[in-house]
Amino acid sequence: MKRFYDWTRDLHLYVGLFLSPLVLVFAVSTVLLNHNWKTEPRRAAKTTAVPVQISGEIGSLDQAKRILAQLRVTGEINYVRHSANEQRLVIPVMKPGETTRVEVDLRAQTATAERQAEGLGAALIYLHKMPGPHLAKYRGNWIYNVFWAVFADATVWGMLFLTVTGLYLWWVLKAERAVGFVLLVAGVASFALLVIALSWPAQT
Amino acid sequence: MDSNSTNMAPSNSSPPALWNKKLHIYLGLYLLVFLWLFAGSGLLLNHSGWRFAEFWDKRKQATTTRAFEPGGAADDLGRASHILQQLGITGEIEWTQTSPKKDRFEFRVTRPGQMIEVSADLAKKQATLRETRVNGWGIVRMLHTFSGVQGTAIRPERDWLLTKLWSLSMDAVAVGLVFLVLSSVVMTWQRREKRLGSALALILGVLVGGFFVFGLRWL
Repeated sequence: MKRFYDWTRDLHLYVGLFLSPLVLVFAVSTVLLNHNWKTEPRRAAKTTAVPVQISGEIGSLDQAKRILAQLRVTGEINYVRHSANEQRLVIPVMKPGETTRVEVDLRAQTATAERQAEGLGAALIYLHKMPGPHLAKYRGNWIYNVFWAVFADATVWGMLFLTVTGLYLWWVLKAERAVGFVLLVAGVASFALLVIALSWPAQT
Repeated sequence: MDSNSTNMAPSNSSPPALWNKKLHIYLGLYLLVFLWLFAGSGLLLNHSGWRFAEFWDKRKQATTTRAFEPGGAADDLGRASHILQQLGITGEIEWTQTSPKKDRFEFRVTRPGQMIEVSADLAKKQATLRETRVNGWGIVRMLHTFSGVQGTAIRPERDWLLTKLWSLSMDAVAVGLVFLVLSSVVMTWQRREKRLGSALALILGVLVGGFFVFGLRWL
């Protein structure tokens, strides 16, 4: 039993320390999101229109990737918007703390890229929201965002592991059972009261 | 291991170190279910294709018409609150919209699991309520983002007391997590025999976190 306790304690320690920077990313960005924090992006000069070869299905992700490769722009394509009337494509390309807006003139076969630096806060918010539920068909088109999605999931599973091992490690400490139990019940009660009050449907 | 003999106060622990450990345990226990909710709902948000947690396709919608007396404050929030009070509905007013036709006023009131779009005809003194309800999975997902200032909200302030309390809880969980991280680093420092392994785990985590936060913009 002691061996199990020691292993659990060590794993709780090492997993917790490894995840702690990622947990901080989510914690700090939570406060920023919760207070609708916005930053004024530092707009870089727009590049002059450069010729690009346009092939493939208009407005498709593949076509956008080929255009970005020619412009040497990297990042996650947020979406591709095709304006048939204006014969233009708009491709916002995202990285943590940076957005590049690529505009393609399909008639002239030229493209411009405008890069905006958005700072640390925006980087944390971006990571917090990625991959997220929106624009699912576009998500994970940049390999590093796929890696991030894996680490974001790992942070969640790691947190669940830390809470379960934390419960066990607390339970073993007999001297802390009473106070810990009161706090656990208080946490569950305040959570339940809030969630029930929030989600109890209003009668229309 | 004999758990009876397990002891929080080894003779060489200073009072600050002991309290650091106690607070780590107490805070972790208090926040436990909040952490489960935000962790679980985070997974659901990142895996919106998971069939078992589908909620939007299973939503229930209903439309009703109710009478009301126009009035209240001159601003949109005041007008919407005045109508909701008469209808006996509470929730966060997400957006308001005055139609070019001056006798029409629309707004949406939301709470986790329920959205009601109110279309008020000020001349006829009748409000049409289009209600959408989602299942438990939908409630869990909405709780994750229910801050009152999320994407579709048009005002920077929260107007429902429970939204304010919930957003305060979100802040508290975030600050609590920062404390749990910092207190764990302090505890690690006190376990001399584990310092090397702990330092390696922490450095690896810092490298991974730093790569994503700062490094990606250089790739």
